[in-house]
Amino acid sequence: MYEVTGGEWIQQNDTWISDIGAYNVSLACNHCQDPICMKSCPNKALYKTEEGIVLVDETKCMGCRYCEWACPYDALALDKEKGIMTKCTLCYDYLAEGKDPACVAACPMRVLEVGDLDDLLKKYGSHDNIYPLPPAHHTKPSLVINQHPSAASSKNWEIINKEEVKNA
Amino acid sequence: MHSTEWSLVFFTTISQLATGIMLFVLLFVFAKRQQGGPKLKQTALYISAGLMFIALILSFLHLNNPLHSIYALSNIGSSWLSREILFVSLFLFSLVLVSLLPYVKKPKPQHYRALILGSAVIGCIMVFTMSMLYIIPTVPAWNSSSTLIAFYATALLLGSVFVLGLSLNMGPQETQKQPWHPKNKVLFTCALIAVGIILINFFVLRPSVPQGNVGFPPAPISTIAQLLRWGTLFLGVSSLLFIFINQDRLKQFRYLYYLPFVLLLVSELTARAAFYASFYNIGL
Repeated sequence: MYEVTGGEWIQQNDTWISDIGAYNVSLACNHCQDPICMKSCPNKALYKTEEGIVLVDETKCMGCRYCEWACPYDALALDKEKGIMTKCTLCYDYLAEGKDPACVAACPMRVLEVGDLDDLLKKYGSHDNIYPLPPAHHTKPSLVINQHPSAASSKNWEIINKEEVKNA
Repeated sequence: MHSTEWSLVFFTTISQLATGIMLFVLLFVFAKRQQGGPKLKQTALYISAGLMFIALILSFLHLNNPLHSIYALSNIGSSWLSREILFVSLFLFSLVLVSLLPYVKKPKPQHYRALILGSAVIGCIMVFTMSMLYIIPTVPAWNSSSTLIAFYATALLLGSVFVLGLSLNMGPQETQKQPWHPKNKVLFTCALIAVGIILINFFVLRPSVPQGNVGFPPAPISTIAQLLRWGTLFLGVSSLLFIFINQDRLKQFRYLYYLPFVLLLVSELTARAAFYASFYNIGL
């Protein structure tokens, strides 16, 4: 969960007006349509299922971390005990049972939704270039964001919980 | 920089040094009418093979599950890392071949020269694949021709200065006796050209600000690392000039001919560490 803040105080005549904003971005793997991690992996240890879910083949990964370098969503991490890469599986086993993925089921604010990408695009439109997301053309993420009003404005946005997310 | 990337700092620099040595030893392999010199060729071949063997071991240290490296050539079609692993293996194989072949079966000189040339060409391709694997569209600091230029410049600089040290110490009689022998001049000039390329690459060609959001900008390179890099580069070039100007007075201390190489190696290792430390992704 990335906590983003930005903005400043603006002086208008004798008054200082607040022009600050804040929003959260919850991200895991976006199971991209053109996954750069899959292209990079020398071992073909990353693969896509018929449902479009990108998974790690634990019997092939050698833990070189090249996929971690390439992914612009910080979606892959090293499992130090196993010496292989690990990532969001979109809880494919839950999906097969007709359940929601764990993150969707757990979110108390009900802001996460899983479904057919075209249906979600029709429902919410696409705002895939809000800060801190990379330009979508790199990997074509299967991600739709119904953006927070703050995110639409151009500010000096910054992630303020860097230590928390990098050490997660 | 992540601790395991130190193995990559040494792996990339050492394998580029081995390529540079193979390139510049060609000056002596294809030379006509020289007295002596096989010691230089043999030493250069053995050192290159040894360096690549060390480099291969270092590359394994970077892996968290080395046993699965048997699958590392599975994605030659789209992964530059697969291609690099292929050419590192081919280069090492070719170096072992040219080093050991004379002991197994003495080849015809023209065939042997062709094998050494082939090995140098494979080394150059290996440096190309090594560069391309860092030219990742989502890593702005590396995603430019500057990476390619930096890697070849390392091979050019370290290879020329090291072979120059060999030439002055154990080369053919004429290159040992005359510091301004044409072969030494070529090596000396290539080293200076490489330094010029390094300076232009760093101060002019480095990638500019990325287009798009950056969630985690990189920390600036420490002043100590910068001083070490540029200080050793300056001292390396100065010592090279000093040795050439005072060659007659230094005959008692022939091992000093390797001093520029040692200083420039430290400079390139520091530069490579800074290269890895400059990593950041576009986005997150």
